Amino acid sequence: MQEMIEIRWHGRGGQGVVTAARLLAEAAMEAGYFIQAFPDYGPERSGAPIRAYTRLSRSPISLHSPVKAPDLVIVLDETLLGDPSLLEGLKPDGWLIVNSALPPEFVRRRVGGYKGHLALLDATRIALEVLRRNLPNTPLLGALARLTGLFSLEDLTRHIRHHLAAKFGEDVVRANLEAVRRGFEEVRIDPGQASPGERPIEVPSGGMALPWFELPRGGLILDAGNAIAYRTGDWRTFRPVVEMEKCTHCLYCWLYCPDDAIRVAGGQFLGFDEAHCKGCGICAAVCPPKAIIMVEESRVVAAV
Amino acid sequence: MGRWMALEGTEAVAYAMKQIAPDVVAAYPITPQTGIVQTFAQFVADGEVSTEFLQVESEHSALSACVGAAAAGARAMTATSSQGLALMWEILYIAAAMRLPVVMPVVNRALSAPINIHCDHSDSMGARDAGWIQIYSENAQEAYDNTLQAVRIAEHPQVRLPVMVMMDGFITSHAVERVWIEEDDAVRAFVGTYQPACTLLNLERPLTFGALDFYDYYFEHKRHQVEAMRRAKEAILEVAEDFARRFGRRYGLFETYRLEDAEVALVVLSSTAGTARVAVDNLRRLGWRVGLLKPRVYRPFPDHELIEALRHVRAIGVMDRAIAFGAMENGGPLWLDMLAAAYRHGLHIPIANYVFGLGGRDITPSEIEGIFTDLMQIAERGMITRPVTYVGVRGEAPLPTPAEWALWLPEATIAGD
Amino acid sequence: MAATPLNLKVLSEKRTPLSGGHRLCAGCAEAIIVKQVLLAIDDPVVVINGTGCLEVSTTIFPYTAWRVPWIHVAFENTAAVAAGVEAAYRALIRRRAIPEDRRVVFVAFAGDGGTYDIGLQALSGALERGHKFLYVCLDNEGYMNTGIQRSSATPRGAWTTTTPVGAVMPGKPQWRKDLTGIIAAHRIPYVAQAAPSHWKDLMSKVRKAVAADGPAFLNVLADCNRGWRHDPALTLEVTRMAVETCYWPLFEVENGVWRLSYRPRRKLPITEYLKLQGRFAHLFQPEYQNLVAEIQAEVDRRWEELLRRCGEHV
Repeated sequence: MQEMIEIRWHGRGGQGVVTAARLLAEAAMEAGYFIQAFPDYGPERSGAPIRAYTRLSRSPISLHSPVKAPDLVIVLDETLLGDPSLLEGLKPDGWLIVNSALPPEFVRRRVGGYKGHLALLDATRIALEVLRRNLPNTPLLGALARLTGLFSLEDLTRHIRHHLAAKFGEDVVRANLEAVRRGFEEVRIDPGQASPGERPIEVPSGGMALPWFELPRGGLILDAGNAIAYRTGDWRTFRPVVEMEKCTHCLYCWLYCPDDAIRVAGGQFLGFDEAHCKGCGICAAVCPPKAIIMVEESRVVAAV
Repeated sequence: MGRWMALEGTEAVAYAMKQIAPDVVAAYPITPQTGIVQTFAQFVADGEVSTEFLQVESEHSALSACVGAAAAGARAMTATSSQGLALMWEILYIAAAMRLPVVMPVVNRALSAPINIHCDHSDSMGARDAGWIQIYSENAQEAYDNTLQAVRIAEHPQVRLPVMVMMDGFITSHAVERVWIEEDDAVRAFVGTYQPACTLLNLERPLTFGALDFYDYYFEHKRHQVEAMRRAKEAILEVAEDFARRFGRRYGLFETYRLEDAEVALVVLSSTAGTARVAVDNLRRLGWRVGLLKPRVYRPFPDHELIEALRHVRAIGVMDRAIAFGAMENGGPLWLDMLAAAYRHGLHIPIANYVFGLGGRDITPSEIEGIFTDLMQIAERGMITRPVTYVGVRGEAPLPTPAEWALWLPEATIAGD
Repeated sequence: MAATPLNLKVLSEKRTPLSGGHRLCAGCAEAIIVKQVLLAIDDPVVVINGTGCLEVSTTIFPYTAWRVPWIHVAFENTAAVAAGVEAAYRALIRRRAIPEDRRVVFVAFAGDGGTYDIGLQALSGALERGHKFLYVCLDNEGYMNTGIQRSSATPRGAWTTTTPVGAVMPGKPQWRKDLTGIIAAHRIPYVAQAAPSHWKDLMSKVRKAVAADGPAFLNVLADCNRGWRHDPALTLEVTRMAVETCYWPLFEVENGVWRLSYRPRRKLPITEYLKLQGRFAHLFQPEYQNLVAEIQAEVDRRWEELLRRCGEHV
């Protein structure tokens, strides 16, 4: 292995992204590595796309700057595949690892025609079957053991047993070990064209940033309501779908939508503002005639 | 025409506030600032000023209310001392960063513990990096004049920063002195009307004040704040010039006394500078070439101007009425700034520190003469043996007296004056 | 001019005060409450916001979700800042810097941390001085902005990260503070408790509050699905259950007169509220049966005390 390996995790607030970065580091520590695991601390709330990082090395790590050129990019939630910054800085011989049941061609297409190394694991399904909860981290650890060879399945087994046995019963420990084993076995590897001479993948940055002398004095924001330009629609894992025949235009959905994402005109319900709907499901829950249902976003995405 | 009045320092400042007639004053009493609040309260009660006067429940709320009022487009003032300033700490930084021109007289008092009500500068010195302009006053007249000028400086379009105007607790705040009070109309014409363009009460253009910055903008906003502080120096001089034209009293970034041909110089703030003037005169009568520099503006620190004014001397003594605990040699903040300025501008002479007067400990002309004596020795030797002296502290080695020094003073030095 | 009727078809024609694109959690009740409070007010509003989830999530530079003038200064001083803004308004009218007939309503929003705890002093001072403003406490029963820590509004038995459930601790050991009662003791013109599930009640209270001649206070239960541990879609159901179990009674104190504004047809047992939320999940283990009984007894005691104050039959 090279001296240091850097990993970037992508997921959503509340999915255990930070925990995943830490779990991997801990497992690697047991296998003798020096480790670092850290999140991007931002304002993003539950459901928002967030990132975390893991650094592993055979020698002490003194680097304390952000990971800019990861060896591995791990995506915990396939609804993030459209995020243009997903591949930012990924090394030409690096790996993209996605928690997904989708076929590799589809994933490659969703990630802007990605041609590099790809690994897929339906970690959510394994977690739901074995752990009865959507905790994709554990099966992913198994997949990483297989893919990177950083530590063996035996190392991982010992680590998980050691950590869980103190707090949980034997059945929980065994379920977790089973999840790890299945992750190890079920990971689908789809090598791409690694071209070592190539530069890391660059993504154009937003370009919003102004020099200091062009900012308004005292941190003022001059454009009221300009947050409308910020899309929160990609936080969604479920989306509302309406059966218009059932809609009575009572507008409870409008009243109770926290994201101002119900389009109304002339007292009539028109539809949803997909750029801002976070998919909380309140509109469906409060809809008296049950005209709104929530549908899994990945299914909608897969259908298009 | 104005008139002479016999006023305590706090009364003089309250008088300035009455004439400024801020839209909002929010304050909380604390010794020795109380005179300001209660004198001003009487003006309000007598209908002499129509300010919205908020008798808030803490200094934290006093400054918070001023920040709210200033953002809403009002001219806002408060006043405090010591623990009160300490309680405001969090909001000091916010007022400066939000670029709100709040003016605050500060009556300098020691910080607890032990609790002490008397003068030293540990309160305002602790706030020196908060982003406020700091102006120190020697006496009641200066406190009055500086308060009037502070409004114009704070609201200057190139600045828009809050300003603290300091006076020494009890020594200035509670001593009655002759103060020339200008006519109300003349003051009103000098301070003008505050009419900011961007305010919270502009309903046609709803603004967001006090948003959250991440690493992508915070630093740029801080850089913006630096620029305001940079431009403040020029604005302070511009305002002083207009003040002199209207009222005849001249102010700069600092004031010097018999410094032109001095061999050694003393740098000291506020009321002690007045006492030091007496010591300078005493020693000048003995033929000693000693001089004085009294900084008026401490933030922004006029490093270049100060060093140029001192470039000809052989040794400098800096008197500090505060300790920067744990800083180099446990000296005072003014000394540290002077050392840095001297290095920055290539002045390589001995600069000694004399920490004095903590918790209201007396400082007399004879003690200052002792400091000058020490400085003469330093100038003679060309080096410092004791970088920081805690003047008048029991158990510390005392300073030499002028009489001791005169015994072996070389003839050449005496001949001077 | 007649007030806009509290009718959703008419209200939906108004411009919403908070745009989409803010970054509150999916399903956050705070955005719903802000919308209800501000849509109830026809006059122009200026918002003063204490540090907390609402503040950080709605104004991430260079974006703001606010379509009304808005200021944030710090955590514990929301009421003091509001006092300064309101005083400035009066002063500027007096010196004719703004027109005399310009009506503005000042609305302060702060969380329970910023109101029950660190901001109580500033609030008490501003109420005593009689500033004309409406202070709305978004009570989500904990320090949610820092990641779910206990506040004095956190109910007994609730899990938070600083009152974890462990071998010797059943979640928060203390009862919650009765802040609405404390505010009522200030004898300000209008104090009320409300919940967004009962929107007409909430909006009517806002109208009474802003019509009051002096300070007004509204304590609003603000469900936090992250901290209370439930599906975001259940936000309004959990809130409704807080009201139906009489855990969060809806009442008002108008010029010293206490009045119940909603009485459930049948008071439901507190377990109906507790069982919806993960923060109380441990209470359903057999060893905590007594604690659940104690919680029920305390809800009953506070409810009956309220009924007596409101002159209702117990």
